[in-house]
Amino acid sequence: MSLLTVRGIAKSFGGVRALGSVDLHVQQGETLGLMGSNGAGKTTLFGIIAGHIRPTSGDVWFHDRSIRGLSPDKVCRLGIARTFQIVRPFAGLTVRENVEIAILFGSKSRDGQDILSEKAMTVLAEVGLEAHAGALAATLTLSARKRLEVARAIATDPELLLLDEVMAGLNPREGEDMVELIKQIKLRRPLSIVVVEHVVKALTALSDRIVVLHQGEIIVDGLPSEVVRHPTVRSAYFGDE
Amino acid sequence: MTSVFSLAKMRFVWFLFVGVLLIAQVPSILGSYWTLIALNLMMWVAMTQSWTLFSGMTGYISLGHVVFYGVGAYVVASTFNSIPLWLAVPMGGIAAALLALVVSLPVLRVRGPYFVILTFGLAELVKFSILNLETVSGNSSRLLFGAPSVEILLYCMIGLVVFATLTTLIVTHSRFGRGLTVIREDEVAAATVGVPVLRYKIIAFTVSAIVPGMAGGLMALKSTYFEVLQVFNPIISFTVVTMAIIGGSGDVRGPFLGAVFLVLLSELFWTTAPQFYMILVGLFLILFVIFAPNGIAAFLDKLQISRRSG
Repeated sequence: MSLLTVRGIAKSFGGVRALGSVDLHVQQGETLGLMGSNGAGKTTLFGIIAGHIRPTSGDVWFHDRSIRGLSPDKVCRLGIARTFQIVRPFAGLTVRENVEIAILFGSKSRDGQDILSEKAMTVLAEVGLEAHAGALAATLTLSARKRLEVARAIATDPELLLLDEVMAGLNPREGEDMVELIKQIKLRRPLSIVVVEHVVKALTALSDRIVVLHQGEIIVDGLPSEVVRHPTVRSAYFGDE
Repeated sequence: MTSVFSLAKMRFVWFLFVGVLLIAQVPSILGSYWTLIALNLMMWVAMTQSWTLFSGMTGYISLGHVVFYGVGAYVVASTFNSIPLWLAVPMGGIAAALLALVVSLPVLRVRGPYFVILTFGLAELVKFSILNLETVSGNSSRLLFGAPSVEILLYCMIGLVVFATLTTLIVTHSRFGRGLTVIREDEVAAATVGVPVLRYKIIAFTVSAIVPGMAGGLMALKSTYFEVLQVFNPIISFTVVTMAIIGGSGDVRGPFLGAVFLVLLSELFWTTAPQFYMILVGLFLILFVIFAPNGIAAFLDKLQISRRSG
């Protein structure tokens, strides 16, 4: 039984088709890479899974229940967390408070403030932000904000983590650190990951399997080594004829 | 730093409660004129405090607070001499809350300037609906003979202020309050980490309508006269927002500070130089927005920080 099953998901915005009929599954413990050029429908698919966007047709199953039409907060409490391509920290709150909120609401914690803070500090240590715990989120660098985004997502204690271009805008060194961070999170936590990324090297390093979206359709689904050799992918990403 | 601020706020709250107790002595010490002023002051504090509970915490700026005030006044006026006042005034609060609950779903779908306009429009819609209803039934205005004395109304209004302040204080420090705060920060991100955004907004909007509903009922009794255009006057909403901006809508101190500031300003200039009063209000509003956008409460916090660090 798959952890996540996407069946025939289609989405149109007015007359523009963002997703055709997409079928996808994510197994327990799997890291699935999602590739595709800009406008391929990756973020739309994330939005549908996380409950932000209602699909035109199709269904999304998490474990053995349909989550189509559920609000994002309900989807989160069921065990699906996501990050945003353009980070959305609670800028007026401290870094620690950002994570506390995610623990408080996402993981249904009923802990008192002391334990909540302790748990938040543990999560911040996991992503290397413990030194910034008291800083306002608005004052962080982009690299630190990306880490905070990941921290807030894992603080909800998810079974499935959707990472939307967590390396976008980072320099190569920061990108490598982020890959390492995601690997460490995967080792420590029993979760499945779907990661959207344009950096092919990073995606192949992280993924057990890669799916390529093109103009709202899945065109390739396979092992990273197979996908990077696929003629369509080579043509789109490496400019091969 | 947080604990220092909490301590400062708690100290301020105690100070304000002592102040409220002193206000309760106004009728016996200062006489009827100042009793009326004290009643007005308490009414504005209660109104602004309840506005802060929803608009201050979520960032949804409502220009429709007057509709709850007007509905409360209408319930009390239309049931006057039919049911006891101790029942009619809370019923005004409940009717206002029910109205808020009913309209919350369509109203809370939008935010930003759309929400501002929508709440203003809602208040006008209800105002003219009730005006037409009253005209058709031959009750374009109602006299409320035998209403309680101003002193009694002042004590009731003080009770409302205490209720509104304690509610805001409890909500601010609760899980619910933290949810509202992150809704103000980023609604989409809040939902993504599990905050039940729509439910929280509806609850806050509904609860914030209770106090103005009851305040409207009490103020209708004070004027012993009910006139639709008077109790649904949009100036009431504008004044509440102005008080929240001047005092600060970040915590429970703001409504006290904003109301005291504007009521004192009104007392100083409205009777002696009425032609300058609105100019002064406008001027202060501009100055506060530019130099103290988070209000007097946040300005006091800044002063305290600079005193400690300096």
